[in-house]
Amino acid sequence: MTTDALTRAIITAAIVGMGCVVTGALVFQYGFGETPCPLCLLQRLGMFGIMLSGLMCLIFGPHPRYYALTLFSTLFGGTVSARQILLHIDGPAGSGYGSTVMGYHLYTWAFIVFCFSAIGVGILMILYRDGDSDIDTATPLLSRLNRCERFALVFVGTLLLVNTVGVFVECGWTACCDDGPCP
Amino acid sequence: MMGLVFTIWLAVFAAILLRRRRWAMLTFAVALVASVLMFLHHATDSLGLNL
Repeated sequence: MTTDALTRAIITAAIVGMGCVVTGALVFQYGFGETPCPLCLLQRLGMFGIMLSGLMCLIFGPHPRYYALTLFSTLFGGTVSARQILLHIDGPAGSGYGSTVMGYHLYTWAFIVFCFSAIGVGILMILYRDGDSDIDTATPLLSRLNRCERFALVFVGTLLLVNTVGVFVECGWTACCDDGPCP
Repeated sequence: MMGLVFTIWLAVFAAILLRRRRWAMLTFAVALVASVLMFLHHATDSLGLNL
C-alpha cells in the first residue's frame, strides 16, 4: 500500500468513524427522546467540521491547509465539550446532562473523540509528502473515489441534512435552549 | 440561529460536491466563525452578559 493510499484509507475510516459517533447521538435524540442542548449541537458542528475537511482531502487531495481546517474544528469541538464537562464537574454524582455510555456522558466521549482526532491529524501530517495534492479535475467526481470513499461522502451528506432539518424542527430560526427554542 | 449555522455547514458540503475549492474554503471559514459566535453567545449568555 502506498503512502497516498494509506492516507486516504485513514481519512475515510476517520470520516466513517466520526459519522458513527454522530449517528449514535441521533439515536439518543430520536430513539430515547433526549433533546440535544445547544452545546451538544455545537459539538456536532465540530465533528461535521472534521468530516468535511476530511472530504476535502479525499476530493481535492491531501494538503496541510485541509489538515489545518481539521485542527481548527478539533479545537472548537474540544473547547465546547470541555466547557460542558466543566459546567457539570462540581455537581453531585450523576448530575450531568443526559444519560451515560459506559459511565461517561456523551460530551465526555466527545472530548475524548476530539483529542484522538488531533492525534490523527498529527499522524496524517507526518505521512504527508509534497505532491500528494495533485488532482485531476477533469475526471468525474464519483469515478475518482473508491466504494468506501463514496459511502463516506453519502454518509456525511445524509447526516448533515438530517441534523439540519432536525435543528429547524426543534428550534426554527431562533437560538436553541435546553428544551427546544429559546423563549 | 442554530439552524442557520447548520445551513452554512450544508453549503460547505455543497461546495465540496461541486468541487469549488475556494468556495469550500471560504464557506468553511464562515461556518467555523459562525459556530464560534454561537458558542460565545451561549457562553456569555450563561454569564449574564447578554452580548
